[in-house]
Amino acid sequence: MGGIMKEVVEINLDALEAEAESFSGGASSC
Amino acid sequence: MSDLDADKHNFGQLVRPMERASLLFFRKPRPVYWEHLFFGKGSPLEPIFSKIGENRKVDLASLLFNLEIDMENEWLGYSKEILRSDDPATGQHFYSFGVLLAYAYLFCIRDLHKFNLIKTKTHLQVIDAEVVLTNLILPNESVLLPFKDVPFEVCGLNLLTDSLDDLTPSQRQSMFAGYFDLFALAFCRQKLLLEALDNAASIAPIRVIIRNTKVYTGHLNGNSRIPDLLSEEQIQIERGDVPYFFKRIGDQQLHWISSASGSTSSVQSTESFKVDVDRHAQTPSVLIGSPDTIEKKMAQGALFLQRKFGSSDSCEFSWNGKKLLLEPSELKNEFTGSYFSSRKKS
Repeated sequence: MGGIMKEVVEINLDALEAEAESFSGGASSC
Repeated sequence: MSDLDADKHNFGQLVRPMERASLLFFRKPRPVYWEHLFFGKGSPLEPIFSKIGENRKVDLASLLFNLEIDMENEWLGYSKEILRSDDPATGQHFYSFGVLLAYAYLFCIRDLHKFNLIKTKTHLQVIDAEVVLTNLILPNESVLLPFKDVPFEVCGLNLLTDSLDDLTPSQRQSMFAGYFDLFALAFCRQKLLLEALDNAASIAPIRVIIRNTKVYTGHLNGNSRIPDLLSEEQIQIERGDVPYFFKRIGDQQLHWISSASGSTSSVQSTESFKVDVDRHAQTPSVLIGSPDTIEKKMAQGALFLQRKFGSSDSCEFSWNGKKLLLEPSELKNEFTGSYFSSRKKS
């Protein structure tokens, strides 16, 4: 492994955050 | 309607301290199987994580597997007290936070707010873990960091610092060092991990928190009524409990304890929670099915953390003997040749 870099993988953080926030908070007593 | 005691579940049961052989233990009237698997001494996962970190000379397993747990049955266990330290946080504490953040994100462990952790002399130790193997999108869903209505004051990191803005570049670097060391090891030992988890994956109940406890408190106080309360939530609230639901791996149904004798029932309709419920209690192969899955998760979590910290740091780490370069919006892994970017396209 190593050596030549592969194609760039784009990470869409806005979309990931929106998806995560669509779920429950998931917190017990705090 | 009775007052809600935030810690009561399943017909008024509470975690209570008790003495056993002159030592302090906690009696937990709930499943402790997952707590043992992910954080217990003697867990089958412990040897897999027993390796000195590449970016700090500390055994990763020693930062995770420290709970001494006795399981009496599926719904009752005992956990030995973990000693707290009030000493100032050190670089190793921040490193251990990074290890834990990566570990919780990898195995999708939620509900790790500061009251479910203890700051020891050497690291942050999880003492309560009930919600595991949820298909998480981002690491802050663990609530080790602020997420939705869990503010910084109660997230796990608050045990080490007063705000995200107070983090120094050196503390951030220690955190990332722990984060990448855990992922580097998990990447290399993915097959072993999957095998161990598949062998250990039990039908022990996994808790599903469909609403934060404080939402129920607000409902009871009359401050903010819940408009779409499920009938199974209503029944539990009326008997004085914080609603408690659970799933088992491989079963789509959401369950609850419906009688004082411990018999269980299925929730009739999860309605607006269905998508959230479906992502809980996943089979391990969904979460860590390949080294590529693990690497991509590491990258998206790291780039998210860079953004969350508002960091303009560029750092270099060792990753399985090669260089890993982290920039504000990019991650380059010379071991795999992968290059990830969160830069917005213009």
